[in-house]
Amino acid sequence: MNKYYRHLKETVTKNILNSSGFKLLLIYFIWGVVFDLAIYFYTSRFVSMKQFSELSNGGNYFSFIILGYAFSDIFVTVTMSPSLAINQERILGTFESMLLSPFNLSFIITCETIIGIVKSIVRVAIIIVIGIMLGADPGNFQQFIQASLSIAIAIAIFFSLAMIIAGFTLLDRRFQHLSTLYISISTVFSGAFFPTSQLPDVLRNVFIYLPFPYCMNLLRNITNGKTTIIASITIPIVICFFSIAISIYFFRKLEKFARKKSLILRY
Amino acid sequence: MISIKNVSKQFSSKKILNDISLDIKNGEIVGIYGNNGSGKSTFLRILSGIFFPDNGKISIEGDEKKSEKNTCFLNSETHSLYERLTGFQNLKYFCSLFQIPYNNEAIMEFSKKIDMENHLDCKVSNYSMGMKQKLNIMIAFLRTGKTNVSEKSSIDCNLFLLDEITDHLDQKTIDFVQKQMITFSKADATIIECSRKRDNLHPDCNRIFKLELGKLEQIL
Repeated sequence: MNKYYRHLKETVTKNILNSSGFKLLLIYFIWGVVFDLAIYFYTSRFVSMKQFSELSNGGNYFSFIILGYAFSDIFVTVTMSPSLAINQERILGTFESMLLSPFNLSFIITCETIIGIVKSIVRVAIIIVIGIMLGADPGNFQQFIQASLSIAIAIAIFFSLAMIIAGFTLLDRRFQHLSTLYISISTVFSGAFFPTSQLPDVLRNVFIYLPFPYCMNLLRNITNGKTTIIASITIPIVICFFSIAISIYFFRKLEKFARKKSLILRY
Repeated sequence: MISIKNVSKQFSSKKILNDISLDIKNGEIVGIYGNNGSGKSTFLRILSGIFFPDNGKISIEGDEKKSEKNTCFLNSETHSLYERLTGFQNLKYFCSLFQIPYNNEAIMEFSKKIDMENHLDCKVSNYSMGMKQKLNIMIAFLRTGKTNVSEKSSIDCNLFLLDEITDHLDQKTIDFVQKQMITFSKADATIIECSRKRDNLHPDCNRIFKLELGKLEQIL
C-alpha cells in the first residue's frame, strides 16, 4: 500500500475515533444549523429582492442566503483547520512526533485537516437539502455539477491560504487568530449574506478580488446560469496553482525558521 | 559516527548550549546527566532535527542533512499519545506516521515482554504513567524494525535519543529496556541517554557526561 495513502487513511481513522467522544458537540452543531436555517427562512419571508440581479427565481432571498451560508461554512472550516490542527497537536503533545516523521510536515497537516473538510461538505449537503425542502431554488443538475467543480477549486485556493496562516502558527499559536480576522473581513464583503451591489463601489472593487468573495461571486454566477465553469475556469485554476506553490514555499520557510528559533513546539 | 561541532543554542538571553563538540562512534552508549533546565532535552531535540542549532554543525555518518528516518527519539516529558484511542489504535497511527509496517503478531510478542499485552485494547486515558511510558517505548523501539531482543542483525535506526527513558517504569521493564539498548548497540546503533540523575543512566554506558552551564564535562 502506498505510504501516503496509508498515512492518510490512518489519520482519518484516528481523527474519527478521537472525535467520537464529542457526541454532544455534534448535537450542538445540528442545533446551530437548524436555528440558523430557521432564522434565514423566516427573515426571507420579509425580504423581497426582485431588484437585485444576483438573485435567481424572482428575488428569492432564501435561495440566495442558503448558498452563501453553505459556502461560508466550507470557507471557515478550510481556512481554520490547518492552524487549529497544529495547535491541538501541540496541546496533546503529539506534535513532536509529527516533527520526527519522515513525511513532510505540510503533508501531515493536510491529512489532519481532511476529515474536517469532509465533515464540512456533509454539513453543506445537509444545509442545502433542508434548504430545498424549505423552498430554496434547487437549480438544475448541470449547474449542480459545475457548482461542485467550482467549490472544489475554491477549497484548494482557501486551503493554500490557510497553510500560509498555519505556517505563521508554527511561530506563535496566536497567529491562528489571523484566520479569524481574514474570515470576518472576507465574509462581510463576500456577498454571502447580502448582494455585493449594496456595498460602496470602492469596497466592492477592492474586496471582490479576495479569494472568498471572488469564488462566491463565481459560484453565484454559475448557479444563476450567467456563466459556465468552462468559460470562467482559467483564472481560478491559475490562482489555484499559484497559491498552492506559494503556500508550500512559505510553509516550509516558516517551518525552518520555527525550528531554528525553537518556537515550533511552544504553545 | 556522529560528529557534533561547536553547537550552541540560546533561548532569549540565556545560553543553553555553549560551543559543544563531541564525536560518538557507532555502537557507543553515551550517558548525559544534568539538573532540570540544564539543556539535556534541547540537546537531544537538536540531534533529532526538531530544533536547529544557532551555531555549529551536526553530521551523522558524515551527512549533515541525515533525515529523521534513521533517528529514534523518545521523550518521556511529553507522553505523545492520543488519550481517546486504545493502545493498538495509537500503535497503528504511529506506525503509519513513522512508515513502519504494522505487524500485529510482532506487536503482541513485544507487548508480552513489557507486560502490556492485556492493556493494548484499553483507552490510553485509563493508563497509568508507567503504562504510557511503556507504550511510548513500544512505538520508539518498533522504529528499529525489530521486536525480538535476541535479534542482532542490522536495525533500521542508527541513532537512539532517549530522554528519561526509565521514568515511571517498573524494574522488569527497566531491565528489558537496558537489555534492548545493549542489543541495539551491538547492531552498531549509537545511543545517547539523558537523565536528571546519574544513577538512572544505563550501567554499561561507554562514556558519561555532565551537562552544566551549557558545557559537557566528561565524568567517565
